[in-house]
Amino acid sequence: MMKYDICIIGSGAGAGPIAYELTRLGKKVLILEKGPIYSEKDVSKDEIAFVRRDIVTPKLKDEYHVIEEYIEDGWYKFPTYETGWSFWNGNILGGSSNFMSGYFHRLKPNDFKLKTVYGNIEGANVEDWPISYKDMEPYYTKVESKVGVSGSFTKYKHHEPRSKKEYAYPALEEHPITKLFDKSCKELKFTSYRVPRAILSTSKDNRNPCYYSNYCGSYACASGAKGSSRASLLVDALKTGNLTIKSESFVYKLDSSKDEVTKAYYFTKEGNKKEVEAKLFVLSAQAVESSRLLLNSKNEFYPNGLSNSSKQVGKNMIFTGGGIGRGEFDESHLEKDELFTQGLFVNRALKDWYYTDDFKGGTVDFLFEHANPIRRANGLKRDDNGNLLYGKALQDKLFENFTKKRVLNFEVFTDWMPNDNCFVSVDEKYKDKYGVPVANIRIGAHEQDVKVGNFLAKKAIRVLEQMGAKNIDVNISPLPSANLQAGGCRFGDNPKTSVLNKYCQSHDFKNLFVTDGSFMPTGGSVPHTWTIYANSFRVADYIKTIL
Amino acid sequence: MKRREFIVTTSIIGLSSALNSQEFKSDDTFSWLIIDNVYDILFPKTETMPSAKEFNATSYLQINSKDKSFDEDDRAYILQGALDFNNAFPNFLKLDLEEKQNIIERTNSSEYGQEWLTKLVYYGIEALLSDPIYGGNVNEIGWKSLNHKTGKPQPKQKYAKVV
Repeated sequence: MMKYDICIIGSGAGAGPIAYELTRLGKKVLILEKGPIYSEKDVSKDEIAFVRRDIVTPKLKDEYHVIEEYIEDGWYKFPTYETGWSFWNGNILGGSSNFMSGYFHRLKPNDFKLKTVYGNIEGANVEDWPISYKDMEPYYTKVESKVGVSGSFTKYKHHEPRSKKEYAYPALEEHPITKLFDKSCKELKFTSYRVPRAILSTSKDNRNPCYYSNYCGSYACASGAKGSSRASLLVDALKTGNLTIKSESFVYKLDSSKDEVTKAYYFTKEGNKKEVEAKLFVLSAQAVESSRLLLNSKNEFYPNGLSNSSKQVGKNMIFTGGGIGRGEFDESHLEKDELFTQGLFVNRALKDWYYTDDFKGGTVDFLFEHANPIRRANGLKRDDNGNLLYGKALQDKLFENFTKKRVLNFEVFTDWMPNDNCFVSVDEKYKDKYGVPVANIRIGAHEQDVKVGNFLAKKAIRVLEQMGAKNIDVNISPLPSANLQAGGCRFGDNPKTSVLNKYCQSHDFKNLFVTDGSFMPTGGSVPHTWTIYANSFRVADYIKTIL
Repeated sequence: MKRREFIVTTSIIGLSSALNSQEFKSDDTFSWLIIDNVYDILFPKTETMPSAKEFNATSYLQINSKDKSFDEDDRAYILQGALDFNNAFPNFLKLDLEEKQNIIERTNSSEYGQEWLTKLVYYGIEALLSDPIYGGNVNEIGWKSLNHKTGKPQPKQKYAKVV
């Protein structure tokens, strides 16, 4: 049996940098990806296939999660095939990075030492990171050039230090409504923060620049502009001749001796069991699935699962807290042609309250409602009392909403406070079509998340009011963002309280690394993707020194 | 429980059955006939919007509900709902437009009835606004009515099949 230098489980943002860096050094790398391979020519802006059906995610009846929610007097389990609330985010080569919107925010120095700066909050398990922003900064910069980040620098009081002032690629083109946004922020004395995006504004190697399709988030990119792990890193890794990709290969168990991980077992598309050996294993299956795999990999040496001597695997899962809001704009705000300009980006955020004197705040991103017409129309099918609309009333409502107004959304991102009621476990009662126990996700949120979310939403509403938006609405919720997962395999210096060391190397096995968002003790008040990419480049540099 | 409620609350009109749904249990033809007539009420032609017939609502659902990616529970529910609807309103197909509208209004006032109609409205919206490759949105009539510009590239294969 071929023994690879490195076997990577998963192919998203945590996997790409490892494959990219190590194949360039001549190491033989194998990626086991659960889903199929799509290239630019295979993707389209097909709402049915990529948004409405389970085509790039498993069918929930076959493979599901169990969500544990607190209802009145206790925790109850709800399989997602009953609720339709999917926690899968893209089982194709490149993983969920194919479908991200690419709102890229770095963490800030204090995010690495939240406990020291703000202290712990009762009922939360906040911990400092074992590394500092200074350790990560070069890798954030590397992501800007390798993955491709477009933007222009905004000066404001909480900006993190940057080794290069400007971004690697110029800012993307902006929608005319940004002028109104900027003016309103100025009047309020708020900073209008220009959000960098992991989308190329100019071409890079074989990747074409953004063509402003208006169908970005939730869709794979047809030009290669979006910085998916596949387009930005794996294509180049393949060119070295040192990368092997086995697609539609679902890893259900890792095996180990007492001292090292020895094999990965996986199912092929046809349901056949196979195994593979490697000198070193990198787990990057997205946080929920990575914890699930470790917990399902118990053996005679490790009865609680692999890398779980601390009994911390699956614990302190984090998502992003917050919620969404909206306001409507029509011809009273902008000329019709301007308002209905399609495809150009808003790329604005509020970050003045990323920190406050008393508590950690967060970020508010502004964006136009996604283009998806089926989803938008479906959201209009009820009247104010929740009753179904049909006939002329429905037809008229669709016409009015699509042709006379546009909705500007805002998304609030707060730190999800890690806590004892947010974790992943496995339960023999719930198994997928392969007979493998599925991940149970308890989704308890700390009350601080909603408190901070409401605080930030009020600031966002002030901007919308200043812009003259109509029908402003907001929904701040304690529910998790299923697409933004982290935690479950915290890194730290103490093997008794953490799963990984500061290089994301297992405390139990020197040849096991976890490089998706699992390592994060806290998540910052932003989407995690830039940090996952940067950290994976950092870990790759360490692996180079030991392999 | 919910289904029984639908039958009880909506059958009090008590019209005699001209069409016996039992005859159609061997295939779904009759259910689709009912659904086609219900779609005429759910999506009528208006000054600005096309009718269900114009954007192929029934045919879209009939064809696409057979795909493996379609929720098989939804398909069964929609078809059974049509039979239950016929049991409750056996003369529906023979009624004039206003009488049909009254029956749909009555159906929408019961929990099970509204659930069934909600499924039909949702898939009607899919037919109106999905890529024409799926058989609805004929000549992009739905997108044009709503001034919606779709993203490019459009699909060359249904359900993102890789060729």
